[in-house]
Amino acid sequence: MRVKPLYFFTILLLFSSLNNAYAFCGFYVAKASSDLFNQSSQVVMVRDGSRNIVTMSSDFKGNVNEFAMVMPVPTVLKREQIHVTDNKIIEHLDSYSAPRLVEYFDENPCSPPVMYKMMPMAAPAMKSDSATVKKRARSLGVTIEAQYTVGEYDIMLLSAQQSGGLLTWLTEQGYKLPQGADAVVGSYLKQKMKFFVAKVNLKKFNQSGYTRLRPIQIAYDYSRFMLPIRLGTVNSQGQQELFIYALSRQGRIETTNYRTVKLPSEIEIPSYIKTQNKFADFYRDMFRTQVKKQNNKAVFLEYAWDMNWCDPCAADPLSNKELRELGVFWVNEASNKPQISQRRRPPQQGQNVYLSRLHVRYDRHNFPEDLLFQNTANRENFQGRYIIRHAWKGTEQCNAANQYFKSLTKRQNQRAKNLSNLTGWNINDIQKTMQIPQRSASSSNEDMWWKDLWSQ
Amino acid sequence: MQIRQIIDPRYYQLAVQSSLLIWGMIYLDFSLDVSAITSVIGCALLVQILFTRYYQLNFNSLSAINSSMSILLLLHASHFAWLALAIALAIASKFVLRWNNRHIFNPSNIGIVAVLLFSDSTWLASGQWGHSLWWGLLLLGLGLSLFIGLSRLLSSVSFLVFFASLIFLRALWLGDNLSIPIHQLQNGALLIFSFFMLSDPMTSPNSATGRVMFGGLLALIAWVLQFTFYIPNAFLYALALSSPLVIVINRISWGKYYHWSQTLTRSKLCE
Repeated sequence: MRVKPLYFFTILLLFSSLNNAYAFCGFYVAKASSDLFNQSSQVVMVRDGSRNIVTMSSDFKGNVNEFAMVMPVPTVLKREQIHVTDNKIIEHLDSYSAPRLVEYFDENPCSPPVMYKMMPMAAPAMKSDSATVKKRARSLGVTIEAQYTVGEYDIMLLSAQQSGGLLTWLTEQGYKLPQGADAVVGSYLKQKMKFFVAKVNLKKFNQSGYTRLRPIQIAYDYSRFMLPIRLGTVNSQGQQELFIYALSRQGRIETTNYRTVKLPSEIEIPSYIKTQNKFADFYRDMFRTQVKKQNNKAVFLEYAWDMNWCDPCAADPLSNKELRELGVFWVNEASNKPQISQRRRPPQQGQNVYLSRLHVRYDRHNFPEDLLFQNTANRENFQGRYIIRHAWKGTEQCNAANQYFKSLTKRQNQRAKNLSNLTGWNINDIQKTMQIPQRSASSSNEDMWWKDLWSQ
Repeated sequence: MQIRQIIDPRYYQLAVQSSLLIWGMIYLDFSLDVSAITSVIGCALLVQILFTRYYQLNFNSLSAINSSMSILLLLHASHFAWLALAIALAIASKFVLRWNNRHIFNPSNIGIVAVLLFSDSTWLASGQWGHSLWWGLLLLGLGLSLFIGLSRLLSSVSFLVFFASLIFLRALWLGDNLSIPIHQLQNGALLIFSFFMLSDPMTSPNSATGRVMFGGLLALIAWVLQFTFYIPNAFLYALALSSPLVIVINRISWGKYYHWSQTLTRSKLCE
């Protein structure tokens, strides 16, 4: 039998009886012989009480025929619990919450007022014959609990007595599972999970006119609040990237079995990051450096904000319609039309939706366990925000202007150091790119305080 | 043995707790400020003073400060007033919830559990301690035995041994890689709970056998809550649930009631 190439996106749900939910997680696994590489997954988790609505999106770029998704779920989901949504909503959420660059212009030191402008320059996320089949499944201890076609996906819900039977059946159906998946699948089965398997229905996909696969959503009750990542690391030696957008009524979402660490923020960096269009590089390298600094063991908080507003806005907040589409069931459909603005202040009436954006780079060694979360009452705003200041270029003469120019080189050097510390970039290269006059930098009056100490 | 005759164990506990709090604020991004810390400790002392006056007992601040530190290390809140409420309940429980002339609940434990259950404004710093400090916490925790004796630390040791065994057995049954149970046991909050809350000799069983039984029972309850009912921070709820059982354990297995002052000179009921 021909084994077709496979691209896995796995999600996992458990069930329980108390008041925390169990979310599913997404990960994807490239088949061993494929050129596909696990780049990034984006998961939106809406959580309230024990209700969970999870949207999973990946930057899958291969042949859609090669895509498959495996999601362990707590129960056999009904057709109405499964939905397919638009990629644009997740792109909007990404733009709204992405680390941002803001710029200021130094005022004329001889006569102050401030010019302030936000650059709407969000860093992009690193996108990063049925009767026989059923009979064979039964003989392997696998039960096809339900089958649906939703949007461009053919979906099956499977239960199994043993991992071996499930893996054999999936392999026979053309899915190539990574080596080592047996133990992990077995572990989930013993925790009484079902498996949600989706692949692309080519006919429906071609009819749809879409060029990209759309995110799959599922809704379920589950007390455990978690995101399984273990299957994604089974055959992968490298690190994988995951963005989690958690929406709650209460406040920040944080991980309980790994540290949640704020991304460094509110730091001045050189203006060439904007002029030379280096912000994406900056964000990528800063994230890599911070991951290393935390010994590859932390989950990073990149944004935490009430969804009613933003300041500055990298993109407008999501409309009620978009939030409802993501599963935020407690907001009214009656929509607030998004308005293009630099800054949206908190309105009188809140939607009561709080967004936490978490970013994790994980591997099997440093993240052996699935991610567990808790909802907190922390509503303190946080955003990854980096500042550039354009120097005043006037020629007016006054004492303040002299002082300004005297301190400018020092501040520029500090920005170079900030950039180097954040990204690991070479300080000399940064200074060269910034064109800081090194002579004045190294021989400023302040640095050479000893110059006039003794008369020569 | 000699050390505990000279130094009250609560000073050691306070030194470790203060160091951990400073570490958390500097390196682990704990959002506590000095005013919050002083308010919580101040509230603890105030409630302690009020109750000791009411019951005409001698006032001692050490236990109240230790309980405050436990709360500051493990509990987070949207406003520090919640932390103050937790410590007020903790101190009050020592005087109000009593049986046979001893308090029933571990004070900081019942204070934390009460606010966690009845308010949405508090949460446990379970992930924020990370996993890198485990060896240090283990050493500092076992260091407590120099002051209270290893026998008095048996509740903590027994809890950790039984809990670890249950976690490893579950992993073996599931066929999980052993890095998973190891990771679960390295959790900083779990170790802080074990050595700097559960270790309280005042609310532990009197006999060594009783303490081993108590640790085992607590581990079983915590494990069931965590892995069957998926309750986060199950160890805290498990301690609150099992604390009244100490009365039963003390009846089954007799032993000498611990007193902070047994090696020193003072004698008080409610420290």
